[in-house]
Amino acid sequence: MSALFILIGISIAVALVFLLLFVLAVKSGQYDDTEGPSIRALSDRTIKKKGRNNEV
Amino acid sequence: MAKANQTTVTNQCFHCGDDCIEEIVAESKSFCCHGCLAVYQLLEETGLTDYYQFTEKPGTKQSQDAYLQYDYLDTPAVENQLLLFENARSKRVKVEVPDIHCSSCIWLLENLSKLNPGITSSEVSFTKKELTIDYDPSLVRLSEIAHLLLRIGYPPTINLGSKSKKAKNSGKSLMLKLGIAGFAFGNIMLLSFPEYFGFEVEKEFQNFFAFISMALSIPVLVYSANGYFIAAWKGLRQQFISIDVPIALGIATLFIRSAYEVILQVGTGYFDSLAGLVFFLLIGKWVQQRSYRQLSFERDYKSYFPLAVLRNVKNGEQVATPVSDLQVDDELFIRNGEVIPTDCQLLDERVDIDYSFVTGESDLVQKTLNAKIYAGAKVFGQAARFRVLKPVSQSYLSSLWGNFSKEDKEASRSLIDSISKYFTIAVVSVAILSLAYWWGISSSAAIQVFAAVLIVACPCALALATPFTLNAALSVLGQNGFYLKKAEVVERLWKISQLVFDKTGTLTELSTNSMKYVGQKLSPNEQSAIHGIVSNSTHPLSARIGTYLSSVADETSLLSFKEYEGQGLEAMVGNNIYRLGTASFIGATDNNSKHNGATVWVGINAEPRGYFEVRSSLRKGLAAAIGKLGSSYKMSVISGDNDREELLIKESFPAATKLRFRQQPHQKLNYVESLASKEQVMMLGDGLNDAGALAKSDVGVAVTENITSFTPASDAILEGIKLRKLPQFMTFIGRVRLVLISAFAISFLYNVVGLSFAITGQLSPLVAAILMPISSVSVVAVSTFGVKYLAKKMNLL
Repeated sequence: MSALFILIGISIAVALVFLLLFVLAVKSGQYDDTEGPSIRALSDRTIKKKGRNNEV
Repeated sequence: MAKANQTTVTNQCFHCGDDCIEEIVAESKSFCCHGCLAVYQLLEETGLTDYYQFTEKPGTKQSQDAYLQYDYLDTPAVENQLLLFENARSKRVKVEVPDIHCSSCIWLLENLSKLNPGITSSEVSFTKKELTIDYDPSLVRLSEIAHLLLRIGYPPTINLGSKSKKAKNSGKSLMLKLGIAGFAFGNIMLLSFPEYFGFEVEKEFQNFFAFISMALSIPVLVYSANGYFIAAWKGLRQQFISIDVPIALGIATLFIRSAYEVILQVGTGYFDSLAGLVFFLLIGKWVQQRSYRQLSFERDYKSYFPLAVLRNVKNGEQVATPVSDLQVDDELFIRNGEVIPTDCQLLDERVDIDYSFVTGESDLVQKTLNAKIYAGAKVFGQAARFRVLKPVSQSYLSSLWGNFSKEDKEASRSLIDSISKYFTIAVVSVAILSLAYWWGISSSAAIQVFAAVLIVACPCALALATPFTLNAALSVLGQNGFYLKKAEVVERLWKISQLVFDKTGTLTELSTNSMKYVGQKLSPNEQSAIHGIVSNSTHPLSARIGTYLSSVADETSLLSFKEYEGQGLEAMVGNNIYRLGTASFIGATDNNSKHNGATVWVGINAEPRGYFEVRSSLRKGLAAAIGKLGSSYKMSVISGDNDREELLIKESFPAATKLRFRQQPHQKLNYVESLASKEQVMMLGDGLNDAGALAKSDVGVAVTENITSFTPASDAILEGIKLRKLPQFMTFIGRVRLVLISAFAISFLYNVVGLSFAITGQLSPLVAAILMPISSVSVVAVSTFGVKYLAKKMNLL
């Protein structure tokens, strides 16, 4: 049963990683514009933002 | 003349979707004005016509007087305030673009680089209506970018100083608080499962679980819930018991009691309830924060003001100067279409100005040397020089609109706050009474019961009832064309006892149907001649007649044209002299003194022929609506116009209605303010001239034809055609109150059940963990579905 100590420790650590990712996502502004991306996804017709792709 | 009525053009503009009154056809597409056509042509040249694929008629109408100047943006001081980032080859700037409203907008604005090679990339934040632009300063200047945006119909709003940053950050921190509370809630619940199901768990595991739970709940207590402690403390210092007080008390007791149990190893505590409570409460807050982001409730006159004007400096040079830096005695040079930013004195012989920006009623006025001109006047035609009399912050407009904020009215307490005082007192007295009762039996049991009462009485469900009920109402009203800025507005609407209407544009609408010609019949040639004459004049009545006659218009060339200020027009067409204007100008005698509107007389070769009667009519269905509203509200009508439509108003409004005509904007403001000091006033208006009155009223409603176009700062935006449904909306809002009260009743019921457990000393963590979510969920369900059911019954959904 003492394996539980380790297992719970690991599970909480994993959960904390996800919490951290969430915090980073919020801080980076992913939730600032919740409507734009859904619309943008449809408009890949001709021109794409070239500035972005070049930088990456 | 009936023919002209029937053939009124109803094609819609390909660009902006407005009705084409004077249609311009190009490439078999209709446009309502040259502005829209110009945007279309620009986009076509650059291969960006996909703009019209995503949404039909995506454009915004080009306002003809948008002649904003952006030269000042190139002043380094101004530019630096706007730049987010810069290096030698690239600069990044973020501007607000309030006109962003659809997918086409995003598409076009993110392809700005096609329109100007100096722009490397651009990105839209749809929710915030912001546009981030990267550009190469060696190829394009900031002012050119602003001009480009203006040309394609997306004029940027430049705000110097960052007053709105704070509000945006609070959205982020709420999201974080919610995330952390949810994380802790889920994990603690997982660790509490053995206990929920009554498993025998070894002591060492029990303690281990309890300590982890405690560790997880510390950030919830310290970070996620800190808003409640702060709000409760602030309220108490102002001797005001808000709903936050029992919440803070409950949260604190939950934690102390649980920590005590865990540290002394006598139990597992109520950490699951604690995290769950905070999580649910924050969801309520989050729901409350949502509003119509695609609408702008905050625009005030400043958005339409120049941020900088040309100032003449000693050696004859002109410098673009930020408006806020203007000083008394500065000399300004204001061009056609620009707005005078502060109270000034005219230094030139004469200038034509238009106060429609302030008064809403369009009329050109000529001013002569040394005349004092108030802020907000727009220069028309020839540019002129002015001397500044007052700094901008003390000008007429600022005194009218700038000196108060909507916030001072938030002091009016909401329903929940008036309840919470008694609720808190009741809870605390029950807690103390049970402490006293149990003290005689056992002091440790007494303290446990005391804590249990505070825990179980924590009004989570009560706190959730308001945001969920009001937001459900908000969304129902929104689907019906009545957009409230915030949920609190619903509560303010409950108390309204007086309605104040602006007349022009709010009650009445201008339509060609309400125009007629009386007198000797005009031949088609004469009609086109008149059309030709009025199209040379900028007078609003001329524009109306032009529209009315547009279907018969042929090309007409005028041999001469003269405008007599305040009297009319004279023109030579062919061999005939036409006169249009007042009866005396034509030489006619007006036998009918009861015209329901303005008249324009027509005389040909000094012979009176007849007159055009231009009248406004009440919006469709409004008369019936006013009748219904009249039975429950006191009403007033105020108008900047003269009283020629008094009859029209009197026909439909109850006799007790107060009518006021020829009201200047500040008179409207004062009137509303004096009413608002005695009762709760709802003001409905449409233009900037009503902005002051809208702000001073308890609920200011901006009535607009097109919700994405300009509306003054207000609490709510109402679509013009939905004004007739106002009585229905008000009844609905009144009934929403009953839904909220029943939600309160349910949550009290749960509190009573919980208290009976607590007082008898039977509140186990399990009972607490079950009761709290069940009460919250059922209250949320009653609120949401209650409002939806009500809306269905009233045919609002």
